[in-house]
Amino acid sequence: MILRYINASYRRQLLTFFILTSVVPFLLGGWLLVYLFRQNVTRTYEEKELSMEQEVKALLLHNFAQSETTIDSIEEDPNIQKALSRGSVRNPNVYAALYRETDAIRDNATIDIYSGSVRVYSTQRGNAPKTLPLDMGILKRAADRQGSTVYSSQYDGIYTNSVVLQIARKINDNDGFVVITVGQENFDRALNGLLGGEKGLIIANRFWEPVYTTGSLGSDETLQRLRSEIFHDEKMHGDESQVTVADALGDTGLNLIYLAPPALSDDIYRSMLRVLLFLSLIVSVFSIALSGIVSNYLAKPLTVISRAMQQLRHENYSVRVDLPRDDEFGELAAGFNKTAGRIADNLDERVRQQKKLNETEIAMVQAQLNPHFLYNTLDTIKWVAKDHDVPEIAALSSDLAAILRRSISGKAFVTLSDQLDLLDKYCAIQQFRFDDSFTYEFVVPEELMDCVLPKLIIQPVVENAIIHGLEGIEDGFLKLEARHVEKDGQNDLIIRVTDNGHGISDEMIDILKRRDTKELRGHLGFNNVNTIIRLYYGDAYGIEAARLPDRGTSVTITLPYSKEFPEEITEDKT
Amino acid sequence: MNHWGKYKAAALLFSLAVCCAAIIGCEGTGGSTAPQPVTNSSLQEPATQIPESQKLIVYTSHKEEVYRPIIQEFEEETGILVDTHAGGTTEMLHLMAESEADANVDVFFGGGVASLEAYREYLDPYSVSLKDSLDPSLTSTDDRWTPFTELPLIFIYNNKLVNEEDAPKSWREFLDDTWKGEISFADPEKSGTSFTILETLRDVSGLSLEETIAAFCDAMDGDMSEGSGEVLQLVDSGEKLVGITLEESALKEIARGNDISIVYPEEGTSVVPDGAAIVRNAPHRENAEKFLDFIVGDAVQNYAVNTLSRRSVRQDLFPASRYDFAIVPINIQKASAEETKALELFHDRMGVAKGEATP
Repeated sequence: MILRYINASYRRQLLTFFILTSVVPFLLGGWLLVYLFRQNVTRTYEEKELSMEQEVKALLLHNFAQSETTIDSIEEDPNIQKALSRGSVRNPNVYAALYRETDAIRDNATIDIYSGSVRVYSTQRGNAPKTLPLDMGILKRAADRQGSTVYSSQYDGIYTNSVVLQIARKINDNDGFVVITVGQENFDRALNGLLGGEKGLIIANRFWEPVYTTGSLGSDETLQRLRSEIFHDEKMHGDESQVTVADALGDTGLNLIYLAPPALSDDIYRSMLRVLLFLSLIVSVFSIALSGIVSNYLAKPLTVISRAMQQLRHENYSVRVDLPRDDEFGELAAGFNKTAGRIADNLDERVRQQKKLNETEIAMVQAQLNPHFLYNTLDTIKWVAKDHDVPEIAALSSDLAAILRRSISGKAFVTLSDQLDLLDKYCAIQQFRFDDSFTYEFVVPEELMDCVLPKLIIQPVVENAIIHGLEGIEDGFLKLEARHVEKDGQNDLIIRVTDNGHGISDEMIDILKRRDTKELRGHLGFNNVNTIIRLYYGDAYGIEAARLPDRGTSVTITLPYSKEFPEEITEDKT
Repeated sequence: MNHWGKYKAAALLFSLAVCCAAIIGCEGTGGSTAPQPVTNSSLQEPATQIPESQKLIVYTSHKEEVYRPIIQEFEEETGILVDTHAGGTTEMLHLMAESEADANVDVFFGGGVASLEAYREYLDPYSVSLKDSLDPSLTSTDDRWTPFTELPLIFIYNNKLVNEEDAPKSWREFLDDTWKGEISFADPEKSGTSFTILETLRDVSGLSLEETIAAFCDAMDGDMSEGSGEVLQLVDSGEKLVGITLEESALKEIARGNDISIVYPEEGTSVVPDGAAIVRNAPHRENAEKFLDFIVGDAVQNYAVNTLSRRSVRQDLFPASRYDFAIVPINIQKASAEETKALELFHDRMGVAKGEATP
């Protein structure tokens, strides 16, 4: 995952961290700014609109109050009342009174006086007769609420196809009515551009039927929608983000709806967010670039050391880190260099020691005497002995020469007959040395003579028998037998050396059995034989020792029966 | 990794803290006193929470000048809030039929009673309190609907292009070539009035339905208007010279000062009432009954006669001698039954007359 990718490199971790800490706060801050700004502006704007609505309301109520006052003064005017009761029409006095009373509002409304359903006086131009029904419409409303002023929406579909506000009051018990008619244009004039063009104003009656609508937002459709919401018990709510204020107009029973477009239209808000996005893109780009540079710089020493370490692992011990800094990285680099140096040195040391060892070996080999010298000297001894007629010396030196020659020869494997030949000479020398204190006998069948076995196997055993077994024995006897055993899957050559000497100690028997190499140090030859056989042929073979019941020792060498020389690289040391 | 993670967490927390502080800090200029504003999709209690018992839903096919003042008066008089849906007769009847199952219409106001008859299965009988004062020939047999006003058919002519002497006097003039191609007439499929005209023609002429329709279509020369409103317009503008329409509409046009004059047919004419009815499953039954009672009441009937130029169905207020012409009686049930057939015939014949199809 991405996280794994980032965590795989210290530089990437740094980079990610830097980018986040520079971009995220910016984005959050920017969005917050836009949001708060919008909230703030919207709220301020709403407050302003609210106060505007209050102004409009106050204006309307003021006008209504004037109408009320006008009706009051008409009602109280004795001229008018008298004329009504008498039923007189077109009385100039009445008109004078009427005009006087209606002075304040006459410019912006029509004032009619009805006697019953007939209009008897009017501030409207012309003398067109007019009647209104008494059993429905404004007169009925006024009659129902005798004495109080009613505010009613009246719709004329026949002549004007428009709605007017009629303010009426029954002013006497004789079906006398004052009706003030305020049309759309009257309202327009009264408001006198108080309302800006983009706003909207709706005056509706208590059944939310329209009385007056104006402004691009104050439409019949809006009122219809609100009315429908009320009818369906839905909460009245404004259009999107518009400001919508619903208010009652005093106690006229009329409702005022004031509409204003949103402070920050969605377009503006969206374009602000777009600018923010654009800016954050720039900031991101800049941040990524800068973060890249800084993280590179910070992570570089680590990378350098890490790479050097890799080199080291690939056994390039000459690698060094060049970081001349005073901080922890500098220390790390110095430590690395020192360690690498020490590894290199150690390796060099080992190589040197190995060389030394080789040199020593070589020196040792070189220090060896030239074998030819030995043979020749022994030969000379033999001849001198013969010359002086001392045949024993001749025999001794001749035998020794033969033994030396055999033992120094490079071959690791020899035939049994060869070995026996050598053993014979060895025993002859020993016999002479030990003053004929023992005799020896080899019993080996002819067919085994060409068996192959490792050189110097039998000799240490025989040596051990003579030196340890027959030491101090006057009638010593040594016998060597060999036989071929073929059974149970074995195909072995068994060589047995027996003597009638002291008998081998139990300790020694055990040690041989245990194959404990340590203990045989004193009898190095003996152990070597065992070890050699075991190492070369496996644990099924080796030597065993036992004491003979009467007296003496029997040592048995078990070897695999073979008549073939194993492949070996022979050194030519001759 | 742990260190780094901690740094990041700390950074985030810090930013969040700043945001919160800012929001909290900026809060708190309280709202102003006055009305509860309906602002920014915040919701407001309606000025008056209207109980169901104060509501009524009306479907009407009347024109605005007819229904609006009546409904507004009803509201003022009873305090009931009325939700009005207006449209053409056929349209509104269809809507009523569709909505009836949803129980969201109370009253159907308008439409010739023939149309109401056709939809009688959607209506609920109600006997208005003033039933006895109504002209019995105009009422429904089982009170499925109640008559509202009655509308005589008359001839109109363009008084600038046609002299009074030459103006149409008889129904027969509309079945021959007298006014061929100059007749303003609306598609009977759309206009209930037009269908009534056809029925009247048939009754007066004594011909069969097929013959009447054939003759009339030929006289029409295959040209007719879409709605009854157009009928008057075409005569007024002079595109057609004569027309047959409701007295009420013609009188209104004259009042508006248009170039139209009326002639009452010499054979007499049919007077077809329009009516109102309570729809089945009405959710505000009681208010619906109040409405029906209201429209046949004194105030509205007087208003209909005095202001709307209609004729009242109230015998007591306006006795029968109010007619100074002969009445051609139309059997409403019979007319309703043969309406479909008549419309088919009409359309076929109109196609022939237009030259579209062979007879």
